[in-house]
Order: sequence, then C-alpha cells, then structure tokens
Amino acid sequence: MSAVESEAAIRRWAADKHLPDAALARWLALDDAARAAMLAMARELRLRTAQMATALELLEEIELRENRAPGSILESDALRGAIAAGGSAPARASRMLEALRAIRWPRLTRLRAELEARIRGLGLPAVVTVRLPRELSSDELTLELRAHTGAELRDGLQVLQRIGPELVGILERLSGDDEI
Amino acid sequence: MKFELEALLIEESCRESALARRILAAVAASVAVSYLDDPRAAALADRSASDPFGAGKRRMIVTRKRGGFVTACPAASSKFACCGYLVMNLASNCPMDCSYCFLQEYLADNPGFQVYANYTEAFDELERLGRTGAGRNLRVGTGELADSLAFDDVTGISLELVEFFARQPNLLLELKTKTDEIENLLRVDPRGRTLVSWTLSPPAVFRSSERGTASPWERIAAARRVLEAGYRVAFHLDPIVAYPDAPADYAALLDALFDTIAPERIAFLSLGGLRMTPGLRRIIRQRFAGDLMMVGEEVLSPDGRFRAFTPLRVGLYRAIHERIRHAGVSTPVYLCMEPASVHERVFGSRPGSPGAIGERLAQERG
Repeated sequence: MSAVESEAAIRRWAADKHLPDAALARWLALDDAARAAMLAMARELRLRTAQMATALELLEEIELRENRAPGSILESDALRGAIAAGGSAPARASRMLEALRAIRWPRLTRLRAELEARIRGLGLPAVVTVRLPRELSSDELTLELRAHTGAELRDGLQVLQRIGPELVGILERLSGDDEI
Repeated sequence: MKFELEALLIEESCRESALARRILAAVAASVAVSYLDDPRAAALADRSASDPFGAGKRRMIVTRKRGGFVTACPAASSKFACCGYLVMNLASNCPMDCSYCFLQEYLADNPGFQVYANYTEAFDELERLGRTGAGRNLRVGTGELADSLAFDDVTGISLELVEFFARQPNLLLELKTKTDEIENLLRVDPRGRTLVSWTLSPPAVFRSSERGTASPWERIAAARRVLEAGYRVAFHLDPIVAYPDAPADYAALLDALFDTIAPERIAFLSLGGLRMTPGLRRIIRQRFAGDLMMVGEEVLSPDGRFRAFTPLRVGLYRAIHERIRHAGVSTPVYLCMEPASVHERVFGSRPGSPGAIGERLAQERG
C-alpha cells in the first residue's frame, strides 16, 4: 500500500470509528511504516475507538520518554508477543494495551508485579482476598474476608492472623520504604 | 528579569494611579499603550491565538480589583494536611511560563496579566485581619496567582508591602518567586516581618520545564543576598518531579543550597510532588509536548489528580527529608497538598491542624 493509500485508509478507519481529531493527528504524525502498522493492528485486533486513542497516546509518550521511534516500539518483543499470543481479538487488544502500559510505566509495572507475586505467595484461600490500590495510587491495602458460616469465618480470621506480618511488609513497600 | 510585553492596557479610572504611572515610566517605548473604560474583556482568552494562555502573559492590564484581596489558599482542602497559608492577590498570571503551572488551567479563561492599581486597599483588609486575629501569627503571601517579584522592577509594589508588614506585629509577608528580582527589597528594612521564598528545582527540571525563570543557582544566590539584608528565607521544593535521577539530583540541589545558606538560617522548607488535574495535564501535553518531565510515572490518584504513584512519590519525599535531616538541623519541613497519611509516612507523626502549622511557620525565626 502506498503512503497515499495508507493515509486514505487511516482516515476512513478514523471516520468510521469517530476517532477524535487529536488522536487522528497523532496517528498521521507517525512515519509511514508505523502508521501502516497501527492500521494493520487496528484491523487485526478489531480495536475500539477508545483503545486506538489510548494506544496512540501511549506510543507518543513512550517515544518521548525513551527517545525511541514508534516503529521500534511496535516491533518490540513485548508488544509482538502480546499480539501474537492466542485468544480472541478483544483479549489480544487488551494485552497489547497492557504491554504498552508496561513500557510507559516501567517502575510501576515492576513494583506491582513484585507485590502481586508476594500476594500470590501467601497461598490465600478463596474466602480471603488482598487487593492492591489501583495503579498503586495510594498506600491503602484492601482485605476482604467472605464467610457464610462460623467455620469459614474462623478459618478466614486465622489466615489473616498468619499473613499479618507479610501484609505489613507489603504495606511498607507501598509506602515507599525501599528504593524502587 | 526582562520579559516580553506586547501591550499595556490601563483602565481609565486607574489612569492617574501611582501604579499606572510607575509602569508607564518603566515599560519600553515599543509597548502599545491603550486606555479602556472596562478592561475586563481584555483579560479574557483570545481564542483566535494559537496559544491563548501564552498570549495573555504578554498583555499587561492595569485595573481595579473588584472584591477582596485576601483569601484562604485556594489549594487548601480538608483532604490535605495544610499549612494555614493566606493569599493576597495583587496580580493575576505571571510572565514566566513553567510547564507544570496550575494557572494554565485556573486562568485559562482569563489569562490577561492583571495587576491591581487599588492594591493599597489590601492594607485595610490586612489591618482588620491583624486585629481580629489578635494573638495569632498569620502568614500572608502574594505568590499564588502570580510570582511575587516578577516585574517588581516595573511595579515597585514590594517596597510598600515590606514597609507595611514591618509595622504589623502578628502578620508575616511571604514573597514567593522564581526570579532574582530583589533590588527593591535591598532598599527597605523588613524588620523581621517579610520572608522571601524561592521555588527550587534541580537543573534538569529547570532546563526542561521552567521558562523565563532565574536558574536555581541564581535563585540561591539571590536568597543569600536578601538574607544578609535582614530578610527571612524559605524554599519550596515544589513540584518535585519523580524522574529516574531525581533522588540524586534533589540531594545535590539541597547540598548546593546548604553550602550557600546554612540550614539553620532557613525558615522552612516545603515539599510537594508534581500534581496535575486531568484538565491541566491535557493543557500541558498540548503546550509543552516535548517536556520529558511531564510524562513521568503519574497515575490518577484518589483526589482526582495525576501524581507519581504512591510508593515512588513517598519514597522520594522520604529520601529528600532524610537529606534535610542529615544536614543536622531542625528546619521545619511540611508537605503541600498531601493527605495526613502521607505526612505520617514521611515525618513519622500526624500533622498538626492548618492553624497550628501556619502559626509555627509564621513564628519561626530564620
């Protein structure tokens, strides 16, 4: 596809999906190869309007943060792996955005993965849930204990007692105790 | 500082004011001067301009303030551990252009650079405030909706302010600035009632995000000079930007500051992380698309602002606070626009009430 044909196809996609002007401008600001790659991805993953706008914004910010061409970001293993993995188009679209976010927020992504692994390591029963704050945007840890019977409640409370020290450690990490 | 003014608009009723006369005598002959019966429309954003906010900065409007001058700090909220700061608005907007400035959103509809010719009416308000607040020490600043000293060589307002506050037993004036515009200050005796504070950023943030300001080193040098002239000085590390080299850069900045000004002579230090409402963030990305400092690891926080994610932000506060403590003195330090829980994480104790913190900051002697 020539550059002219590619631009026309992008404009058609944008018009069909009511893509905001600012997002279209971001798309058209990419070099020819990156533009075409985004179009191919939009079709393959059946991206929704908001997903495309988000992807374009993330690409722009990653380009600035890492001084890296959008084409090389789209070619990165992390992104290609997310797109190539199995599953439905919407699931792959979701993974693609998750991969872009991981590149955009590297320290946040590393720390969240570390804390999620610590929570998994607690071996919690189904009645107890430990939730990290969304995007680690606060220092609040949420604990949930669901019980229908006295036995479930007693078991759950014992679990909370057991994991208390580890939860304190997670809270301290959330509070910036160690270098990230 | 030398700022670029394109137009000077003077409200007809202010034509004979002392302020208008001083400004007319000081601005360059190339600046177009006009007189208007009601200049309020001139303060509105020029939507036909490519950058209406930037255009507003180059249009100075000498007008009367309609309404009171002194108010509570607009950033104050029950969500935050606040410092009891009172704001006196003698001007609106600022000739400098920092990427992170909240005025870009706050004054988006009224970006004209307004200075108020009837500013002496603020003195009546302050005297009433001083009387009604008998026994309480209050800190009043002019650096919220404008820089306190930018254009002071043109307006000369600082001279009257410092002399007025020198006579007030329980009011402390805070002049907050990013300039080194201190020549007027050196001509008057503050008698311990004026504190000059500087926002300080590491060189990387200064180069990337602060346009038209004095460099960090020029600000520190200016602080040293006013300190020697009898003023109290304070510093705001605000906004603190959590870029990868930030811990080392803020430590180096503090070292340089303490090498020039002994920490025990600093009245207080405030810390505040970069924060942006979604609207402000959108404006910043439009106006300063290439500013790397504005695309850090910020996330939407429970208070509706984008901030560096909590462990990163709090960790940086703690590292900076540790560096201040390492200097071996107990310079008061407070956090701006952070909840009590963050205060406790950083300082190890719950904050006092805004009134108590304000009282302490107004009382401390440099």
